Amino acid sequence: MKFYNPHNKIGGYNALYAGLAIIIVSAATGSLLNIHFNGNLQVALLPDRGFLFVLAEHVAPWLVYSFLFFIFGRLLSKSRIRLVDVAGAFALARFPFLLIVLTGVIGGRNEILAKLMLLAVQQSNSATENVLSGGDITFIVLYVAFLLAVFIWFIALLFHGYRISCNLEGTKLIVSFIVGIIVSEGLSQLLIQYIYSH
Amino acid sequence: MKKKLPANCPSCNSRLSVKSLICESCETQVSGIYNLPLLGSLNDADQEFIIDFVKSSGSLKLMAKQMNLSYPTVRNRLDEIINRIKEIQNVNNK
Repeated sequence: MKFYNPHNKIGGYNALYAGLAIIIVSAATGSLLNIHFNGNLQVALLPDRGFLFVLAEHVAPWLVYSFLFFIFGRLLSKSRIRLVDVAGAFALARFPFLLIVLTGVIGGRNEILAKLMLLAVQQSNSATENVLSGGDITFIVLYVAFLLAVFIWFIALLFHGYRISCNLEGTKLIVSFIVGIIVSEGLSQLLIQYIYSH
Repeated sequence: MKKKLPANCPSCNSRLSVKSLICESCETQVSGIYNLPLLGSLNDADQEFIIDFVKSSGSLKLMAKQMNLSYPTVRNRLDEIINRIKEIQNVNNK
């Protein structure tokens, strides 16, 4: 099983159950460590809002992506597409998020990132507090590289999940995938904003 | 050594036809021009897949379990074979 394409070996209900387990564990751990995802392509630190809130942040984009790409698959593919295959593949694709959540156990991580955010906000006020040390900067560079690698892995998992669950290839696959990511992320953001406001 | 029945001409890649058949027990020979059976025109892997499909009573779920592959992967493989069969039928009908 290739790490960027497990979908040849695991799909359908098996992938769905495994993916839901990943989502629940990510939400539970994220809720404890104050790490959550306001969309599929953004990670943030926030005061704890409770497990259900964090869970909703994982489930909402997963559902939006699954339904939208399922519709694309039904329109574009000559095969009989099942929603469970698309939803399962996309749930499984969320495994890399669990790794991001687990970085919350790194000592000092939250403090360094909080310093960075505060510095970005205070830049225009030329405040000299919260200056980052050399070690902080090294950590940030490595952490950003790690986040980038994880997001690329997530996109690769989504792509192969879509390709195999909808049996698409070539230009149809690539164009619909790019359009799907953009539209899904937009819709996910709207849904998450709705969750924030309630 | 296992011999593979060729389906296409090695020279011009056209579909091959059967010209003669022989009975191994009485050495009777039958000559004519016969089309290769459609299933015989598929490669070994496709033929094995079809046999496994029939033995699984047409259950892709069961096949996926036996082949240790995901259901969508097995379904996609079946769709590829269906397309190849349609291509062969189109060529045979011309």
